[in-house]
Amino acid sequence: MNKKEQLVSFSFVFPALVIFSCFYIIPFFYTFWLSLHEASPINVFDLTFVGTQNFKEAFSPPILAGIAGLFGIILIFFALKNKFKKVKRESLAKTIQVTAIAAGITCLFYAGATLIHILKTSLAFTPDPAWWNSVGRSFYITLWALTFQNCLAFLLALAVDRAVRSGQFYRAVFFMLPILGEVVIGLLLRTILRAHPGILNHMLESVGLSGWIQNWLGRDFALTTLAVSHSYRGFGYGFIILLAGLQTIPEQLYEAARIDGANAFYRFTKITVPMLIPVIFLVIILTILGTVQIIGLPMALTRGGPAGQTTVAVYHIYNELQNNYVGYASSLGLILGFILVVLSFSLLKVSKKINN
Amino acid sequence: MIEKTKKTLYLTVIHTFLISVALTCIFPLLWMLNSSLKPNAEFIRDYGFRLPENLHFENYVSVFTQGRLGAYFLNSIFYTAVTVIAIVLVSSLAGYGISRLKFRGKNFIFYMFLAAMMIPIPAAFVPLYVLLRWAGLLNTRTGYILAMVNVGLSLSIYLYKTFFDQLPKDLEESARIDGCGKFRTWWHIMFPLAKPATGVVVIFNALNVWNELLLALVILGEGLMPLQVGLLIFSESALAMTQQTTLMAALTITALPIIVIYLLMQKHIIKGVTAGATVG
Repeated sequence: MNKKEQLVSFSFVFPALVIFSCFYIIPFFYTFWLSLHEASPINVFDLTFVGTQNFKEAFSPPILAGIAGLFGIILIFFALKNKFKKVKRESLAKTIQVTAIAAGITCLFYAGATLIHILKTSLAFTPDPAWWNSVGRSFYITLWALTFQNCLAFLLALAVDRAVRSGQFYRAVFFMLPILGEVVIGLLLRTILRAHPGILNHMLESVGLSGWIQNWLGRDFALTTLAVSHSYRGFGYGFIILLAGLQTIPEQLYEAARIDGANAFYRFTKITVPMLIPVIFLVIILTILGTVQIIGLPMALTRGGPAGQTTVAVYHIYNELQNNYVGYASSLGLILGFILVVLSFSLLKVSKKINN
Repeated sequence: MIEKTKKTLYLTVIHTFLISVALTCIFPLLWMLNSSLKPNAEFIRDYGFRLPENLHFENYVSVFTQGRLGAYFLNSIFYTAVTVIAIVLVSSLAGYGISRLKFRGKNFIFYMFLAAMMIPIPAAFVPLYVLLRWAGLLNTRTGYILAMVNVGLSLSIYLYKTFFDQLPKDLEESARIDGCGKFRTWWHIMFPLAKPATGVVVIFNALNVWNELLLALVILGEGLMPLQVGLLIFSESALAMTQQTTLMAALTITALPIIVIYLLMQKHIIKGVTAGATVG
């Protein structure tokens, strides 16, 4: 294999690699750099170094102190439990142990100092509540998606698997909504749920449920409406994956269990669920990733309102970007990305553990 | 006998459940189509619940003449077509290279593409904005198309790679003996053979680009926006506010191409989605 031939072979992946580097890898590392800076409001390229200011602003001292404290405890715990034995050279292991204890104590000290400082100034620190509120909203919607949406998807998949086996028709219908796009569904539901001409309210009234009439997109209900709308749009996705998983379970397993006299409940808990564990975890991870990243649905349904009630995390980052807070927006993006990556990796780990 | 009635009852319950959920999915879409076909006065009277007395297409006309949705529509078609063609070419090249050719760092490159699927978009769109602005590609079609090509690349390369892995090697070997170069082997032999994979890649990415909102909002400017953004803008216009039926017509126009393509190509789409899910 000579050099020239290798070069020709390499040229096959070259275009992909160029696009990928420019639009994924460079931006990815650039975020870290950017998150330590802040741009002037007028010119995005006029960056000033602000260090960890953005993160401090986002995290607010109590949370930062909590993380530092936890980190310190973990470090000291590892050091005392002698977890660094695997390092071959004993002297090196000792050094690492001592350093870990020192770092742990520093973290604890920082946490303690911050807490005392906060108590002194009577909890006057809340640098960016808007950001964490928006993250909280994202997780509230995720909770709905994980429970309501996934239970619905699972029940539907089971029903189709039992009653109609192939389920061409239902697959076609249930998957129609996820592919229609967030904006279309959002605007359609907005028209239906609005208070004023109010299609849903009109329907409720005409079937005699006047008591149920609500301002669905108003202050009290907007976020829950958004969560339910998201679940309504998204359950077909989980349904498809779960149904595909259910159909890979061989029929013989059920037959054998039936012959052994296992009842339906027993067959469900001892065959269906264990066989489906990897698929269920996959759906959970995809639901979390898909839900935390929504922006089109809240934009179309409520414009983030009323009074920011439906401004979810990504929407908040987008707003910060619109205001030209580039550095701050990328710190927030990093924080959110970090949360998502940690969440999905730990779920993968748990899934593997259960499988074994 | 009791066993049989029990079974029928069980099936009835299941089917009622399935049909009621299916109806809640289909009904709003039918309602949307129905409302878009009637004049606004009629819509206000019956809330769009009765079939139109006569079919009226004025809403569709005014969406294009007053709402200027036509420009957005053409933009969307342009972005979708160019992006999909670019993705097919670039990713089938890369997929073939990774599957069949030998060069250094091949596996590393492949896993890098796979790992990229794990990076969530919120962590990436802010620096992308700054970099594109720096490169002068902000507010340009090129910038948006390249960014969208990049979004679809990982999964498409994976699909092509796994497809090429399954193909027998005889054809290429005979081509090489006949003195056919690597690029010609790819273009004349392997790419035509990969039609099933191309089908999945095309549909999956076309839907993706057609439905993209966030990157369009971040990268593009006023006149270049695709249909999804156009819909948001239109929904705030005076026309859509006063005449809901025009909004329904606009939504129908956006949804209809997807629904038609979806019903024709259902199998490919579901294949692409399940493939995308299992990689991640």
